[in-house]
Amino acid sequence: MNWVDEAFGDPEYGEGRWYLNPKNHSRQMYKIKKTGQKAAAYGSDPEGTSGRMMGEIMQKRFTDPEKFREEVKEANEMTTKSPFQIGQVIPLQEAFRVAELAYPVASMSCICRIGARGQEERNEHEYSCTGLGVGMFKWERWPERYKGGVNFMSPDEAKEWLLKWNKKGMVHIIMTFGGSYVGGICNCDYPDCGMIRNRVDYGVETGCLKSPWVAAVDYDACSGCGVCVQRCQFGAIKFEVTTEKTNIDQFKCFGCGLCETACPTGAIELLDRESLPGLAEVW
Amino acid sequence: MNDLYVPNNYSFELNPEMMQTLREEFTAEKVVDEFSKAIEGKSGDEIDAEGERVFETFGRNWMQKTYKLGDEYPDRTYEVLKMAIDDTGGHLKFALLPQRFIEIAYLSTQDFSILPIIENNPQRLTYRLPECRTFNQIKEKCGEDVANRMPCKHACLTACKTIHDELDIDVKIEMTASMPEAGHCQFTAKRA
Repeated sequence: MNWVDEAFGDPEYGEGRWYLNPKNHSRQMYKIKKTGQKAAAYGSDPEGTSGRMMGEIMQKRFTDPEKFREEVKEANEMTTKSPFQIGQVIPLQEAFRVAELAYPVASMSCICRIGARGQEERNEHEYSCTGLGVGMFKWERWPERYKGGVNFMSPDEAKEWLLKWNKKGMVHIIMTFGGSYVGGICNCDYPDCGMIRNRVDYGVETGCLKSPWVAAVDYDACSGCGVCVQRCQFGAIKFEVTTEKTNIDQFKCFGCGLCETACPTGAIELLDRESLPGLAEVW
Repeated sequence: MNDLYVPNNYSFELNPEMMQTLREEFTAEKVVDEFSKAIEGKSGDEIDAEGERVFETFGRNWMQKTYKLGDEYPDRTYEVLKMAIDDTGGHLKFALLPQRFIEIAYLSTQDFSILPIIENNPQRLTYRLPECRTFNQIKEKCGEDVANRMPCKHACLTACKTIHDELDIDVKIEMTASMPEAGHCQFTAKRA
């Protein structure tokens, strides 16, 4: 069990996983504000705060590398008190379970790619992020974030939509939006995804914890087609030239399951991380 | 900035006039006055019977008026919720539509600034009252023993039933925690 499950999970629901605890998907629609108090502007919300703080840490990579290393270490030690958004990679089947639980589910544009590329996409790929929860009814408060609006989906539509992005090779990352409240599933890839990049390139773990699963390959069933190698966003899969088989480095594996969903011979399966003694504490 | 991104002047908050109307009409003081007069000289089962009568009527009227005004005074949150219900073929109707009216009912008549929603999904709506003016009034005017009999639960249970009846949603309603034992009241509407 990881620290997020320990803090926000409930053994009665979803095998104790925080993102399958219905309480973390529930929130009020209204708040009586004090006279003159206004809703938080975009940038002071959990997503904006997290992004700004990460930006400040990243700047230090160049201006003060020692401080950069210290701040990354501090960020990783903050756990539930962290002002950063908490995120965890989940495989498709668990994203489907969230689609049944979260209320409502809406597709929305990806902010990471806008940031990474410095321009808006304005094409069919623009909408790849998933907003969850009643906050989506207020998206018009922050039109600069929800460019082009949101589309509400039924659970079946949401599953179809998640499957579409999975087929394209996007990693599903479920994330909080203040405290334990689950605010979204991003469907993204390296190097555009801020969460993946912060973890893989800079070692900031909070926004991109590994999933409770680890991929394993059945060498007898592996045809050596190499499809899984292209799908891995984390550099965990390599093609063994001499055996002409796939080889998975389970320490590098994030358990996203993209290799499993694409394997044409069903040679890859996801194992419970905690059933593997050497990996049980590797998040 | 593209015109598309210019914020509209929508209000996402509950209408203050509506909240004021409900606050004035459904005060804890008024209903507890009526209850305390009704139980004068009575004890035990008689108190329970009076509690049921007085608070059931109060709960029904309170939620019927909330439903009426809540619909007459829409806000942008409600408008988008209704659009989302249409977009999803009615999927979001339970628990989110009753949740809105239940939030209005409590926020207009209690002192807390949010109604904690413990669970809201297609199967279940659970909400919690962290404190209660009505319970405190009963304690003050009728004593702790009477308050601990929880006559006021009939108002909350009836209000919950009323909004689901108004919205034609079939649910089973339970009180899952009460103020004397848990320090808060909690209610759950489960999809039947």
